[in-house]
Amino acid sequence: MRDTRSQFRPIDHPNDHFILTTVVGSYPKPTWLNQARELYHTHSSKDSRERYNEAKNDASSIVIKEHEDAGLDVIVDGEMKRNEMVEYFAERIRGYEFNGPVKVWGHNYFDKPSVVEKLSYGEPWLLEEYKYNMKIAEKPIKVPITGPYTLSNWSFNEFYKDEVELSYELAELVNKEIKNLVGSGVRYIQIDEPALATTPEDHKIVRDCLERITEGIPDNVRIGLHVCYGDYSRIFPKILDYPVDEFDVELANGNYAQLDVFKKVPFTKDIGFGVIDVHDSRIESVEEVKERILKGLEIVPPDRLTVSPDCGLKLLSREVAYKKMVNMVKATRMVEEELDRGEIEIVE
Amino acid sequence: MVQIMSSSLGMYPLPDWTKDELSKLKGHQRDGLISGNENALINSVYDSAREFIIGEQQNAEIDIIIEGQLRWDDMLAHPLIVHESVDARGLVRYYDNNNFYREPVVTGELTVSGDVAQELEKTSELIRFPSAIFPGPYTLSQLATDEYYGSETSFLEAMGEFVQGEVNAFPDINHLILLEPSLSFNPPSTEHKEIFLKSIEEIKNTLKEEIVIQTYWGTFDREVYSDLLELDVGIGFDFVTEVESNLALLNELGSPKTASIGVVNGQNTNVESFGEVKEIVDRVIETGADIQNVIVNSNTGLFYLPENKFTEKLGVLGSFVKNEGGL
Repeated sequence: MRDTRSQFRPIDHPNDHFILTTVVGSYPKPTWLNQARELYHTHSSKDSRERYNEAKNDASSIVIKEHEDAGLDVIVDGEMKRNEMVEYFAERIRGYEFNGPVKVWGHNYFDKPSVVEKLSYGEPWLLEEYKYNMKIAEKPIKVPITGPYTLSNWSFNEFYKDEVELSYELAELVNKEIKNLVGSGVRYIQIDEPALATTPEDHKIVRDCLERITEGIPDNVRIGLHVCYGDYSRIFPKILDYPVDEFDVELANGNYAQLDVFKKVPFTKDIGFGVIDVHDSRIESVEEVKERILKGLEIVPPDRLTVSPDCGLKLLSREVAYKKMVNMVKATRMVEEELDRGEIEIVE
Repeated sequence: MVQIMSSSLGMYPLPDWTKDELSKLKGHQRDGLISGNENALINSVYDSAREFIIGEQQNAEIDIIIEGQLRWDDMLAHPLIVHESVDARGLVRYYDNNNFYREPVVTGELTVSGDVAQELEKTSELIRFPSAIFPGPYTLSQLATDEYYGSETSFLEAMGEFVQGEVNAFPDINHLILLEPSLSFNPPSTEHKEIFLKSIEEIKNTLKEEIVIQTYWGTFDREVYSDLLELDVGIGFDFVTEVESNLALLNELGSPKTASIGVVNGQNTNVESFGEVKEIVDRVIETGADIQNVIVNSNTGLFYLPENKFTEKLGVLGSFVKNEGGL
């Protein structure tokens, strides 16, 4: 298996063992960013747009700093410049149309877009975001991108024969975007596919999408796949054939009820192991997180374990999100120390 | 001569102007979902929305007007969710698609609640003889979890009695459409089929209005379809997801007197043309001499759509019948 991980080991890493720590992506937006957005949407003036752009940059800078202060090895900017995980991309891809809010559940709506003609790349999606973050960040950056299957699944399809054809078209566009990002220096991409593992046969569509996505991407680029709220028994061990380096899963929220699914056969990829419940504002203690990390070591050895929260942290308050990250990193470093001292048995 | 009428399946999307208002009054979390104990202010928003939505159907010249089920958060499970003997637990998915409902767990006797009857009473103040949409007993038994009745058969029987009790509390209505997607998605065993059919027969016998058993996301199992024909109830098909297999049932096993045909896609913003609707309607009518009434319908509830597309789709249904010679 190729090594895409060691490039993210900090030069001054304190322990012999290295368990990569990161986050999934989203982070609570500062109140003033939402206010700046409201003002822009109300006035739509050049002035309010400039202020909103300034506020977004400031918010990215702050979140990057908070991620670095928490001690994460790989950071993101909390997706401060993205409104929503489908809308943001659909606004940039040519061929989409917006008709208004639709119900997700309860009184939660999203502006579900419609694909009304053949899709084409349009303007770069994340290049500006990455270039700004690169200037600010001292730590390596991961770029999360919503995957083609989720983009397809969460849109109305008025043009393509079916969801599969639409997913493949989107996969080609994602491939183009990743090539652009890699050309600018990105070395860690995370494809978010929360729609995966929701139907019995979708693993095949996602595998074929990933083949398209990773076509022509250099070997030193780390590709992760994030999945949440699904039935993992539907996709494991099939996903071990996917052309990705890391498979990132939500487990803490379900109290590790699905852990045994991953023990059926040797887990031959890196695992991004969810150790923080993002739907609970209670801050897990360092000891509690440590216990959860040890569960990850039942699946893979330390050099293939990535520790992260279950999912994006955006639903929490900033203070809680920050404290959860701090405890997550502390717990990881303690596990590494214990591994160094030979106090933890490693499953090979 | 076949009579063609237009209708649509609930539930409807809330009008955009109520979305913000209700979000503010009820919040975005699980405790903001419908419980049946809403205060007067919240109910007054729903009342205004109901009046608006009936006006939308009249503007579209829909023949068979429905209440719209705007209060419903749980697309099919609502009548259970608001029931005092039911616990609304975690969010789960419906039928492997991306819509969520709260898992209804039945913890006591399913007595008559009258929740949907009240919605229809309010509708009757606005329009004479609305049609009623209600989940069918088989689908409810499939979606709910039993912690009271003790066996699958007694649970299904109890659901039959529950549906019967609820619909008997309705004011005078035009049609009753019972939604049964589970008949397609997960057809019943022979034993469960018999219990289901007995429930439908009893419901039919206690109602003077016509009853239609409507499935979607697939088509009927052949045995269930034959038995429904024998019961002489209206039958509703989803012609968006299944065309040839529905036509095969009609051709090979016979047709009901009233066929509700879902030809407008409730889950896609693509707006159907007159020609597309006509093709299906003509093919259905060609299948059998027994059909007396065709209800041109949406295949599912329309709440999946943004408001502008919802209005356009109602327009397609209304104008089709107007141009094709309806009531």
